[in-house]
Amino acid sequence: MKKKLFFIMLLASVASFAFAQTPTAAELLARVDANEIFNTIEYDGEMIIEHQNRRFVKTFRGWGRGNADSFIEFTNPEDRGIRYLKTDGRLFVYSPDTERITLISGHMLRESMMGSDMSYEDTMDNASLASRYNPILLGPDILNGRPVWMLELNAKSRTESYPRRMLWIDQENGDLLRYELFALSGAKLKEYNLIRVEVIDGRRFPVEGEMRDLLRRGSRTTFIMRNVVLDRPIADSVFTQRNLRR
Amino acid sequence: MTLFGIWELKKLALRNLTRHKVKTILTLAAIMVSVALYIVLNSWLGGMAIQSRRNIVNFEIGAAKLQTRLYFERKDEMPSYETFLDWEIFHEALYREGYVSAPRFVFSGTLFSQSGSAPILFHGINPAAEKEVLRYAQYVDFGRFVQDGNFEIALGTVAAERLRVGIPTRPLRLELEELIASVARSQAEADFIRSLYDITPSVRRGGDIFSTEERIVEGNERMILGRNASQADLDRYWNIIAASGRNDVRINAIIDIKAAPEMIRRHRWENELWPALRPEDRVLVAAAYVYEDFMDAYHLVEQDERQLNLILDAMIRAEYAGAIRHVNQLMDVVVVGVINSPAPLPNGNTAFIPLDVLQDRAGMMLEGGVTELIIRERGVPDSRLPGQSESSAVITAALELGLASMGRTLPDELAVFVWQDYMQDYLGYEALQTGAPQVVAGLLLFLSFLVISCTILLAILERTKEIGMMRALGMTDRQMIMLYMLEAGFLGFIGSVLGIILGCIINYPLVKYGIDFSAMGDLMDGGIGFRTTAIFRSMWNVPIIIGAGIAATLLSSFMAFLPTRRAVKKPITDSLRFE
Amino acid sequence: MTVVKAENVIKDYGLNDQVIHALRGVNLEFQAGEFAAIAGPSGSGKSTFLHLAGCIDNLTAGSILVGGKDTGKMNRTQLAILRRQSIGFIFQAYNLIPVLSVEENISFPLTLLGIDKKEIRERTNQVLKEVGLDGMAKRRPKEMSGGQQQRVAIARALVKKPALILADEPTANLDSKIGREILELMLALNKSAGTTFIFSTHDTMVMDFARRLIRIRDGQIESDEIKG
Repeated sequence: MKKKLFFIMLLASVASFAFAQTPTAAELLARVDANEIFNTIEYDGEMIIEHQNRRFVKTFRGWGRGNADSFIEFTNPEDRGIRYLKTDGRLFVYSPDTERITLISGHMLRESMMGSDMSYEDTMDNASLASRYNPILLGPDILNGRPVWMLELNAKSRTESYPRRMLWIDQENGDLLRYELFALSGAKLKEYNLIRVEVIDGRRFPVEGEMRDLLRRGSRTTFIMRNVVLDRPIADSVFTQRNLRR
Repeated sequence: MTLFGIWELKKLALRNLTRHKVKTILTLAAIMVSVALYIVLNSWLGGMAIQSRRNIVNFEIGAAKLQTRLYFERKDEMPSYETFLDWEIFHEALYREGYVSAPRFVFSGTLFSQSGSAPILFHGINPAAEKEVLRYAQYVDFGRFVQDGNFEIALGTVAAERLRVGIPTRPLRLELEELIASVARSQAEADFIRSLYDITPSVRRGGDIFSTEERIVEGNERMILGRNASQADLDRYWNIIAASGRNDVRINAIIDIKAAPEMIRRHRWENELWPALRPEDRVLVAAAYVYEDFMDAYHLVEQDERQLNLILDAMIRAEYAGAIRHVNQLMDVVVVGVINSPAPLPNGNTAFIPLDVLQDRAGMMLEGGVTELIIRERGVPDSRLPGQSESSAVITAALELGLASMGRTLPDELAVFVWQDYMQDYLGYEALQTGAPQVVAGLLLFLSFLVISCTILLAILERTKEIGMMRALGMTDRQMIMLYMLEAGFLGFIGSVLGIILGCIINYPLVKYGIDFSAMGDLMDGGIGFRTTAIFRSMWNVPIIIGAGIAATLLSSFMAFLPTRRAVKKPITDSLRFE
Repeated sequence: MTVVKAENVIKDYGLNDQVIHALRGVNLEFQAGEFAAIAGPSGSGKSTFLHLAGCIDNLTAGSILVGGKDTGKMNRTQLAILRRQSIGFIFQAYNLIPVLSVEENISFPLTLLGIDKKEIRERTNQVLKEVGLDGMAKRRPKEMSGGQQQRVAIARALVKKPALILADEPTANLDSKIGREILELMLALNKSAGTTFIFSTHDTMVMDFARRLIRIRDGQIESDEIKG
């Protein structure tokens, strides 16, 4: 009896160990998606843009409800008063100079946001990756001294904005350390590298990352989040066009 | 006395012109110069306009295009998702009925070179068919035109200079040295490249009004590619540059794809989509979606391809953003040629790429689709602007006939649009550009009529007594007015004839030889293009020439009306007493 | 036949805010074939009367009938036609058209009347003979003497065979010898063609030639004398 029990336990531990050693692509992708889930978020943001030997620092205050709704207001002197609202799958911008709200749509979405390496389209990217991509686990790798899983994502739909993505996921803590975005032809367009993670409310949360638009030579943008508060109720009125104009 | 009787007085009217020969000559000179100026200016502007229109037809658009109606409706946005299939069939059908055509896929994107980037309008073309319809491919300054099957582009000269691709025609010395350092593989190649350039003429002249401070900085002068460089030299130069990778560029574009959204949230359906749909489209769209309570959204249930296309058209007309998806694309291509034609568009921020490489995932996922088929009548000379045989109705009829002979019909969503339909802005601009100088010339013409008016006024004053006498002899007021109008009319007529002769004499060489602006280009250190065909010719506008003469005669005659009318109101006795 | 009938003719002019009474109720009648002169000092109204009779000026009051037609009721065009058809003028200053030749000056009224070219030529040649200017048809007025020019003017007045010829100071610019010749010519034409001549003059020679002498002063008829 004891032997049987021991053997069963051994089998179970081996199985769980095996499970822990080589997750499936779907499991990995699910974990990446899960990291992105929160009810609400509030934070102080900073965007450091380095391009053509010039450096710009933009600060803003941000609010988010899930991944669907977000509101940003810039606070640095040059951009003070510029506000962005993402809601209902659409992106609006308010400019204090013109006092106008503009819907950013069509080809405007691929424009750089505030001169950074991130496009407006990139900020709209909110639906889960698992629902849009077929993952392939390419295997383990080392990135910056950390053991990682390399995941290749191929779009399910031919209309996906980035038909292919590569992900590097930390084997131990599940952080998304790096991802690359590819064009339809397979040429690499953008790179993201995680710089720093904080533990907030018992969960690991990326607070500093760097994005590079590879078509902008030598350009990179560092995103920093400070004073992050998760899951605190935010009034619905924050995510309205009225709030843009106030 | 009838009007014919007045004609009998023509002798008197003509003799009156000889009373003061100097005054008459001066008046005639004023009319002559203004009529001549009007004719020359009108002819010149007309010639430029005709040439520009020819350039548009021969180098940019052709006579007409076959496109989807929805594309045409939104043509200013260049909706590259609005493609149609089976262009080969329409091409064949048109050919059977005497038309040549060429397929195109037009899309916008950004071109990245080693030096920078620029927004470019790309044309996916079938090189062989394109050459049948348009002529710009004959104007490859450097390199060659594109060929099927290769990821290569021909670039407009403006874009090439901006992106520093290909052979620079007017670099600064330091820029040239930098280029040589990056492309020359040996001292011999470096020397060879240097030998092709010279200091710009203005610098050689020691500077003049065309020189700028930039050009004459010591050690960094503006260089110019020698006009005497042989084709073999240029080919060798091009190959050196190509081998260095300088001509390797990347196209970043967005592939727009029509795709009916699988799901539309109720909020967006009610606030964004439904109000914007045309009434006739609502039934169609409503039938394709089903509301699901638990998701609070509408789900797509329609499967039929044709219906989905109609639904998408309806959504696009309603400007519903969810109907179009955008896929990022990046293509590595090589610049194989630089275009420098007489027309501005192919020379500008434009590139031409073979259509066949754009068909799949490596390209723009066209899968046989094109945005347009450009059309021209077969065998029509380049000098002839499209006429009735290239009208929308005639081409459509021919296309339908050709398709019928192949057992096919023209789909409803496709239509033929003529070149003018795409050039409203240009035509408006042309009207302004030609209209303004003509107004000026017209004003000058009018001033000459004022001169006539003064001449007649003076004549009436001098002949006050004589006028009184003639009235006393029984000439009615009307006859008197007509006599002086006849005299002024003769002035106008003779002046017009002289003006027409002078205008035609000046216009003749402008029509036959034109003005070669490339010579001016040399003066401006090649500032208007290396091998630009820059000869601008005037034209013969016979209606204008004759019309100017008639108008000048009639208006001159009319100028006598008021002064004479004033004179006949004076009592005869006062006139007779006048000294 | 009464060629001109003036009844209670009044003509006033405005001049520098003043009213000048040029004619103050003149009554005169002229028959066909008369050779009459209206004489008086400057400003007496003689030329004014002639102008009114010739329909080149307007009455203030009264009436003038020319050829039985009341000129006061006619418009400008009708008056012009009346002058064209029935009245010839001879002016002190000849008033020939300098750019036309002698024959063209003479034939001018016929051209206005719309007469055909052949007849114009015949009549012009005829009247040239009558005034003694045969052979000078092609000359220009500036090539001729004062007397010759006045003959041309007479010829021009005569060529259309008017019922009435009004001559305003016709001899004023001529010396007495030439003036006499002109008057003899006009008298001869009066006798041969029966044309009524009315002169306005202060030339005694003209007064002597006239068969009827009307004196006028300050706009009123002083005397009206028919000579033997």
